[in-house]
Amino acid sequence: MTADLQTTDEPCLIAAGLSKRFGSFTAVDRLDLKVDRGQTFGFLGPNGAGKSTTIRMMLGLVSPSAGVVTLLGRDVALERTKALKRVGAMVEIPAFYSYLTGRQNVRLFARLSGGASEDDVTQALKLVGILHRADSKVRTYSHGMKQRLGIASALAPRPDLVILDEPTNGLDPEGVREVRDLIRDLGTRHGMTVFLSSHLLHEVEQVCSHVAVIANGRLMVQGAVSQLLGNHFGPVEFEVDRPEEAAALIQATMGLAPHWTDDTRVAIHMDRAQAAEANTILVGKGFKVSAIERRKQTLEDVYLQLVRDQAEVEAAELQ
Amino acid sequence: MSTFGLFGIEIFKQFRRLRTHIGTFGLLGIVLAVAIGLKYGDASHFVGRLTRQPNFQIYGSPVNALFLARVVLPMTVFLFLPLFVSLVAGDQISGEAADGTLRTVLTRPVNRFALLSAKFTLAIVYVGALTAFLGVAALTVGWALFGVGGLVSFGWDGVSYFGIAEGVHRLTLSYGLAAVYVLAVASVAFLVSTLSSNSLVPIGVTMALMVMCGVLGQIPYFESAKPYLFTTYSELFLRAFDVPVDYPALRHGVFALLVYVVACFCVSALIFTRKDILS
Ligand SMILES: Nc1ncnc2c1ncn2[C@@H]1O[C@H](COP(=O)(O)OP(=O)(O)O)[C@@H](O)[C@H]1O
Ligand SMILES: [Mg+2]
Repeated sequence: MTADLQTTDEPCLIAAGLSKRFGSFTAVDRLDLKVDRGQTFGFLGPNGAGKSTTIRMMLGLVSPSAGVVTLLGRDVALERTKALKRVGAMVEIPAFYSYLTGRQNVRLFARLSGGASEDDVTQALKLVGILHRADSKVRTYSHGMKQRLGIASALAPRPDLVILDEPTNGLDPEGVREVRDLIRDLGTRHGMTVFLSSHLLHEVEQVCSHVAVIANGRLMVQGAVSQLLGNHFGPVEFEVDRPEEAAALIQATMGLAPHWTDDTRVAIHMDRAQAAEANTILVGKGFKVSAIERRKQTLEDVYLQLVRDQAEVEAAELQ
Repeated sequence: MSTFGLFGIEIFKQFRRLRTHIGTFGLLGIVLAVAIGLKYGDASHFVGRLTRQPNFQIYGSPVNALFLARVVLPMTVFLFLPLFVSLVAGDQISGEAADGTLRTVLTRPVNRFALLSAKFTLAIVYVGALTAFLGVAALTVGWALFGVGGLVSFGWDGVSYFGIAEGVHRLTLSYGLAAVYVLAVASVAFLVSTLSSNSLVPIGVTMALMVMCGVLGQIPYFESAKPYLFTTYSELFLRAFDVPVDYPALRHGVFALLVYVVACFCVSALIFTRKDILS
């Protein structure tokens, strides 16, 4: 019954037209998401964007006002327990039984997922780096340790799909790095599909192969991180002795306005061929070009651009 | 996971919680206090108060294990037992909602109805165990301090004497009836617990309802509502000492209380299986 799921190309997670209204407030608005097997998918959005609400709907904690979620080929609204069989998840700040030890908690929640061997439990605790405190009561754990325990308990039953809500929240910088490395490994080394939410751009950029950006409950963009960055070229920066004059020359000869100039550089939006041509012109006119560099577009640039576009669209709609 | 498996997990968790044992210690304290009062105080005066027969002259002391078990029941059924079971039953859903663990549990492939059934079963078992504990504690302490003998029971309609075997039988019946009443109270607390994410709310609401229904039941104008108030059956356990036992009346009372229990469970299931988990 579930074995055929391993071999199909069916997406691991589909959200179609997913909406949630709290009274008159729309927290999630007609969201469409698709996560394929093997992806590490970042669900990026500022605080209050609707990430946790979306994840709650994915797991059947909250029923959608509209739309459908399919996990591993099963409709969550119709077959919640079957849909969640091979899913490990953590929503918001992980909550555990404080009067039990970390290990007892992981074991208990693994049993609810159909069981995990004692070895898997230990392995999961070790993976997140809290094995040394596994037999202390959770009452005595710090916030960061609970966060790690949350990840451990999601992983212990060896799920196919892992859903993590802001997994690096509350961790110290070293912890953040460890957890990011761990999440990257889940995909590459353990063959798990990972869906993680984050409000941190660089986190998604570092960890994820795919991303969906959400703001005010609405999907702004979705796709492969590399593709998104590739579609949005940054300006080419020329390090040159007289940036202002160089900018004027390129504008006069090629008709390209400078993006910005500073004391040592001029940045102009152009493609590869144009960059080569501009270089020839500058050198021909006696400019000393010491470096040409296409600044790598970050997800942040894309994101901020999207948010700006969205604001403009909304402003236009209002008029 | 099956209801049975979930029940095992619930038992495991419940046993490790302090509030589970508050009831046990509370009841033990009450039993000991009454026993000490009977042993070292002015027993005949105390017995007079307990039996509400201050002028009745008895030759020899009625005080023994069975007597202790008989007198501690009315002292606990009206307040302490309902309070202690509400503490546990009312915490079942609301407590986990408050701690956020309900969210963690329900991210797992756990059927909500099965989880609720497991928790309700736990509440039933707890009511049974706590009531039985009271009886066993009273018999044990009474046996150690006073020995065993026949049961002298005082009702409003007079005094009855039961031999040891009949006394144990009547006590068992009485404790069973008390447990059914307490279970009805626990069911109300359980129902409220599916509506709240604060584990004190169910206790408060249940206690308030008990008082309100009790008051209503004493106002003649509301006589017609009386059969439908669960507090009407709070004294059902006393009727186990009637001579002869009015079994149809007992059956009717038990039936009414069980209707309460089943109705509360059904309503809590309707609420819980639909509810958005937002805590
Ligand atoms: N139970 C609720 N009632 C009303 N509004 C809510 C509720 N839960 C969340 N919201 C609102 O929905 C929006 C999205 O919240 P959330 O999904 O938690 O965002 P995120 O996880 O992206 O920070 C927020 O504006 C929040 O205030
Ligand atoms: Mg959130």
